[in-house]
Amino acid sequence: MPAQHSDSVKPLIDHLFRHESGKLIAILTKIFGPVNLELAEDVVQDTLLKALDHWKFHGIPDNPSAWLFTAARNKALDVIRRERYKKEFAGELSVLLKSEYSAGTTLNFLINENEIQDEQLRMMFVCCHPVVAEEGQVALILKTLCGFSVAEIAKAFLTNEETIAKRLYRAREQFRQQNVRFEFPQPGDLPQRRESVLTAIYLLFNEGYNSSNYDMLIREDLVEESLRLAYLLSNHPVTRSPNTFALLALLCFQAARLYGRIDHQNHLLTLRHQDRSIWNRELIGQGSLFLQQALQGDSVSPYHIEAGIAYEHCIAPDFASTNWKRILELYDWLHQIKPNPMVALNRAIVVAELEGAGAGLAALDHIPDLLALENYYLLPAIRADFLARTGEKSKAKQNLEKALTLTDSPAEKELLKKKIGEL
Amino acid sequence: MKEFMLVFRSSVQNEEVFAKQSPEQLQAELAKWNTWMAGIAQQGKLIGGQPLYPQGKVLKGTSKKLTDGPFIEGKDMVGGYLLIKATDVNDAVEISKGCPSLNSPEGSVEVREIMPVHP
Repeated sequence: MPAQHSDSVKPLIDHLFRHESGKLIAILTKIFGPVNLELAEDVVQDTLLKALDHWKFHGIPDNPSAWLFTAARNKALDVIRRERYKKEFAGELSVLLKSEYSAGTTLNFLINENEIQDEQLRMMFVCCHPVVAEEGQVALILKTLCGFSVAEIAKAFLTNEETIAKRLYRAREQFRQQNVRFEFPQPGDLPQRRESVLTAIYLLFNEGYNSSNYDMLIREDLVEESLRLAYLLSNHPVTRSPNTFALLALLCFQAARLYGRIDHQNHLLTLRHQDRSIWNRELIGQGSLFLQQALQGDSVSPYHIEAGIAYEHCIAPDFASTNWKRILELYDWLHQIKPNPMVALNRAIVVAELEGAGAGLAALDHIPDLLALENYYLLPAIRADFLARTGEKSKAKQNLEKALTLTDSPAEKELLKKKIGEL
Repeated sequence: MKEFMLVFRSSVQNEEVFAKQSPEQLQAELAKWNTWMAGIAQQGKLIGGQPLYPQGKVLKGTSKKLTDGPFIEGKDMVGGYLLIKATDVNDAVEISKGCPSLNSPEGSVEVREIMPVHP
């Protein structure tokens, strides 16, 4: 029965499509060239629609991935025939793709399920090309490599679809105008270009991990995808570096605690109140191995230190036995190489644990560039916590009320209200 | 660098066999063409070209008399063409030696230089 099929089709293909579309777009961008990114996206979109249509009535094939690859290859051949007198495709492939003698074989050779890692890594460098603005880079990664729709990206960034569509449009325009190629950067540019890729993945992860977004599904996908991409990077000789491993370790340590941060009723929990038994020990173990690999080099990046801090939290059996002294040292170090008010804010929390809430308040007042945090709800929320601990309940309440006005997230608002109640 | 057209000819029978192969046979045959052409492309010498159906039409003379193909009884049926770059005719001939057309005793590759016409 067709209806039956369509019911069973939906959840499986959501996940499948997300991953397969990322692979297919990477390969097709290699074939058509980044200048024709939109063409690659159209072919994949058509392929997925065709699959939905076909599978709804015929059921899901035994090897859905192979089915998609074959369908994409056929669509790509149609597109090449249609466009071969109008467009140039990627590099020396172009001429082979335009001849019927060689187009099919060349496509068969390129569009197969092996060796896709390489294409996806190149695609990451294309997405993070310096001609694309940082916000565009992250949107582009989500759209092309992670199979997110424009609507989902908009949801992830708490913005509207039009804004995301514009960012993507500008990025594609840049590829066209600057004739960006589908390749790894030149060896001389590699370290710097690799850093841009790491930054984009870091942002992607934080968007999933820290954002006030209450759509948990989107957040899980962001976390999972950033882990997957960082792992891909760490697995290839060209993109592997101590910093890559440090970022990967950091993501593992953070992701391990993702589900500890909410309770059964979906309420946010502070670190002090989290149930550490549900932290993912396997991810923590993997993170530790990656951290060891990160320490093979002689450079220390902010990722190294952040991973070190996250590691300390992960190995502490409970909140009270956290090695705050070590964490404070790490924050001081981090602040030296990456001075930033957010780091200073987190440092103040550690100071309060070590030296008492009064010292924490003093540390807050000494944050350089405190104004930058003026509209960040956590500043008054943390101040309120310190004030409550020094017995200044009315001031604490004022600060919590201020924090309430600075966040739109229902979960965060709820946590703040709970704290007001507890005063 | 000069430009050349390679004209592939074979017997009518051969061309019809080529067009009617099973998908597996066609794939194996085309793999040979792809390898040869990719080698030319790698040297930056491939311009383009296409295979042709054995059937067609012929117009002739001022009366534009129309006849159906295939047109020839012998071994001179055009099966396709390729445009390449080569330093000279000898280079073009060397490149042509790899052509899969020549795997059949009836196959031939005609090497013709593109004539730049200066009016």
